[in-house]
Amino acid sequence: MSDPRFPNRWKYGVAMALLLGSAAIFAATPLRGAATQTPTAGIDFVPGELLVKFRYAPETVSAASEFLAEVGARAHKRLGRSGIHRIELPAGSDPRALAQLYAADPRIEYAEPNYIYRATATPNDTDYGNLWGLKNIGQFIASPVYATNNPGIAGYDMNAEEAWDLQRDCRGVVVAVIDTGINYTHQDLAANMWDGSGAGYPNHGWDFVDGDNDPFPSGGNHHGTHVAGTIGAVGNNGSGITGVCWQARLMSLRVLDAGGAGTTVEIVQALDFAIQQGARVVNMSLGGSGASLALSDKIAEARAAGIVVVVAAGNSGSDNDASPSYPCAYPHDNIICVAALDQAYDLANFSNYGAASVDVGAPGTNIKSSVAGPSTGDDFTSGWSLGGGWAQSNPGTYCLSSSLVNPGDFCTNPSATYANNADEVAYKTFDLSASARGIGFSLVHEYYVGGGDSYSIAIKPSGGDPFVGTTPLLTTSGVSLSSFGYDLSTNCQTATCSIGFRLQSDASGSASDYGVRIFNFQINTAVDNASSYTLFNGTSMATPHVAGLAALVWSYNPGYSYRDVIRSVVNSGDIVSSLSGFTTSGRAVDAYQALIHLQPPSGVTAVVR
Amino acid sequence: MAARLLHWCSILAIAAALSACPVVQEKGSLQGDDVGERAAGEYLIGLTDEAAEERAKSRFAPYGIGEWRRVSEGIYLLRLERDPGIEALQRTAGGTDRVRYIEPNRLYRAQ
Repeated sequence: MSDPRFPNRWKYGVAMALLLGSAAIFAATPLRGAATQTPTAGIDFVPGELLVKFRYAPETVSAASEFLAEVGARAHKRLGRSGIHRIELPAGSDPRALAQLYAADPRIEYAEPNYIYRATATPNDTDYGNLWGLKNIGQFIASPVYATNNPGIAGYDMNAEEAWDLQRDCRGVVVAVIDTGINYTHQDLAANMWDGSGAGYPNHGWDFVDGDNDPFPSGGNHHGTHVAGTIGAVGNNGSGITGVCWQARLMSLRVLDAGGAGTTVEIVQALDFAIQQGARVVNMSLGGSGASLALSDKIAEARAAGIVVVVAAGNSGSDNDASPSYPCAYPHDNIICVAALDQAYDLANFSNYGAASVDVGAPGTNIKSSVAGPSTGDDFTSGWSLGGGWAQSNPGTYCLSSSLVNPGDFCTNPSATYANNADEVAYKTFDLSASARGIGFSLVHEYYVGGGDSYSIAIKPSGGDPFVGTTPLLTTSGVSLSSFGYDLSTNCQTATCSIGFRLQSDASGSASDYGVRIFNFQINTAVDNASSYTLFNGTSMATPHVAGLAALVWSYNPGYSYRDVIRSVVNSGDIVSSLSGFTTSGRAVDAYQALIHLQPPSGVTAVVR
Repeated sequence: MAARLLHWCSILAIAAALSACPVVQEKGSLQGDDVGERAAGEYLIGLTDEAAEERAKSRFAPYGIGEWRRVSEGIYLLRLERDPGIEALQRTAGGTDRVRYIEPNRLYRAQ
């Protein structure tokens, strides 16, 4: 029978043990889920202090004195009329552990550490409310580019605000963005670009596509500028967005052309540049299906230089373990490969995955970020000269957006084929004379063109049929669904730039002559002092969330090795069911947890006697 | 009914992100780049010893060297005027242990 004076006597021994420093059992922080933020998010508290409110009012002397004796209180003070006692605990005790121990004690209404509160680091950027990946409050993203789970679930985010309480500035770490080039004049990026002028690189990097020192996206491709914004758009500047890093040093290494494509050669050279110029984090939101020893070796060199390489898992919705995408599939331990999550932390339907090759998930749908300049879409409804079987088609069963097609019933009849002995052109003349530092066009084409036939794309600066007196930009056949883009800044930035498509066929038809569909046609510009933003989807968009986080972790823990940074980023996040069995960690990155992630001791030896 | 089998979620992803999904194939009908897109006629040569550059280069001369340039330490770009294919080139390079590898100049795309 228990002593009625000490109904919780058993706790006495436990309390003593806790006072002696066995608080490690509370080190693990519960996982965050939807709207289940744990109180440990604001983990700072006054050491050695416990706040206690006794259940009975007025507090019985015996209850209070019993409790104070149990916890070995050095002193206590009643806080006004609140009924709350501030108790000073013996040195070395853990208030969190004691609070949990006494949580169900019938004498006590509650006991808790004396938490320290700070103003939460919420940036004043005007589009911050759209950045669900940083702060998900279940907001609806207007004009979404990914319909599923919009809105998503509050709490499914990178926990950025809590992280920003600890670290916002990543200027101690140069982040190289190996991509289509960054519009380094963008209002939200200019202040956060790497300064390479002392090393002879006044434009913040190098252009390996054109072979010059200006990695500006001359073809208007927005991809690299978007990626850069997610890593390090200037935070709290009252406009646009914020990056994971409010302050950053972004190095622009252009390896992908206006169509978003590049080769091993450019990427290897860019990695050389990053290594030589001291980058510590590399973002590569790119991928391809062929392995390269040259690229693999160069990533190993980056590892030897202590560089973290963050790469995209890929957008084909497939298993990278079975159908590898590179560089994601390389085994080097300095690579973090990133899958894309939607606003409810489901794996995005386009995201690649891989239990052995993909490491973590991060926000990758409806991601708003900076772009190089304004874009103008064209739905093919006006101004197009349509020859032969070319036609504009409204969205139909087999087309989800307005398209330029040949044959004309491409979008309604999946068995339709184009004509034999055809030579048919569709084109439009654009006025592209308005001032823009970079300009180009992009499109997505889906084509099924049989043997002996061809599909071509051409431009002409003087207008009219672009296939007259010119060499096509592309002539191809076969089956493909892919994007295409071209830099118009050097030879078609005129008032009469015509862009066109041609389908030529021989006399014999084949069962696969289903034709051509072109959609998402856009004229893209890159302008000085740009202030444009847009939504993109992709594992490309998930990747810079992680690259930014790697820079944040490294800035917070400057003594870390690349392995420490990667462990902190990969092993600290939230367990997410959609990633279980689909990534090596099963986790979505969490910025706050990554910052405070405790590294396991290394270099510890023991002598067994 | 004949089928156009391209991956619709991939189409959506492309449409949204203006990025390129890898080609999704109709059965047996795609051109032979399904093990990785590549720059036509271009190869990367990895040498164990840069002093072997001229000797390695000379081995490929019969195919017409359109371009030969150093990309990085021990790595050279070779563009051929007449591309015999990777297997023939590997046989050509096989006679020297100074050639670590020869591989197509792969293509990568924004994701």
